[in-house]
Amino acid sequence: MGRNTLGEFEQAVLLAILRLGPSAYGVPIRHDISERLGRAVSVGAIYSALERLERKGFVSSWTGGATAERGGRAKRFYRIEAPGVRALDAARVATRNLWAGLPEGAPA
Amino acid sequence: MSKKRVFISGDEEQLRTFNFDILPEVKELHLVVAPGAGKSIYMSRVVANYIKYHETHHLKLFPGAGMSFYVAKPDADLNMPEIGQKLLPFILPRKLRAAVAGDLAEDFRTYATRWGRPYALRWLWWELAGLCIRRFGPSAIITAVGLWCRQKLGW
Repeated sequence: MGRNTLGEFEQAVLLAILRLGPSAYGVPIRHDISERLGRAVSVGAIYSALERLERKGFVSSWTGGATAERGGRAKRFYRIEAPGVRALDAARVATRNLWAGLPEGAPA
Repeated sequence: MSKKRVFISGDEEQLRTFNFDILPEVKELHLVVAPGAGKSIYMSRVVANYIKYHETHHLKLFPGAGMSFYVAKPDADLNMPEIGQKLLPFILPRKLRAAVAGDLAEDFRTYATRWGRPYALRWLWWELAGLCIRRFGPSAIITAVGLWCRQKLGW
């Protein structure tokens, strides 16, 4: 995967962060993606993608407050940055171009 | 609080006169109408109260019928096992350690509450195995297991 391109799973993670807004941390991101993709997603897969996206400069993270149900451990919140928004837009345009001229629904 | 299933059997009269007040933490009530036939009726706390105050004969209880309750379980069962927490420093980079451990603890609590501790434990070990494979690669894991088997079991 190129430096400024997004894989399918990376797109899913970025879109989940966008949807969740300021409450985007590991657990809700994982649940949102699992629900939308209709399959189980592992914690490791989420954090691998988040680390990759952070290295590319698409997201930034900061440490939030700890809660009792997490055994006093802090949450790591994620926010999408301008390059991430641009990459998502580019991915949407690319997908639209690939589908251009084809009918809606599954091909016969 | 998580839920634990308790089964109480008895005849119609016993079930009708059962004092629900001794189980204030009842979450759900499941009435087994005909166990042999595998028929059952799922009921809420509202229906449980209905049974308490009304006749139950119209529910057509059969011999051997019973009720099972989901009652609250102590909070200790909802905590991630200590061995899981001790493994994390070996398989996670320092930066992500607290966040991932917290996420695992939070999800463990959710699953233990919803589906019970055995399910949550299975999920946790699966996740930890996945994290190990991501960190060290499958070949390193296979080599380590192979070495362990050779050393301990003499294979």
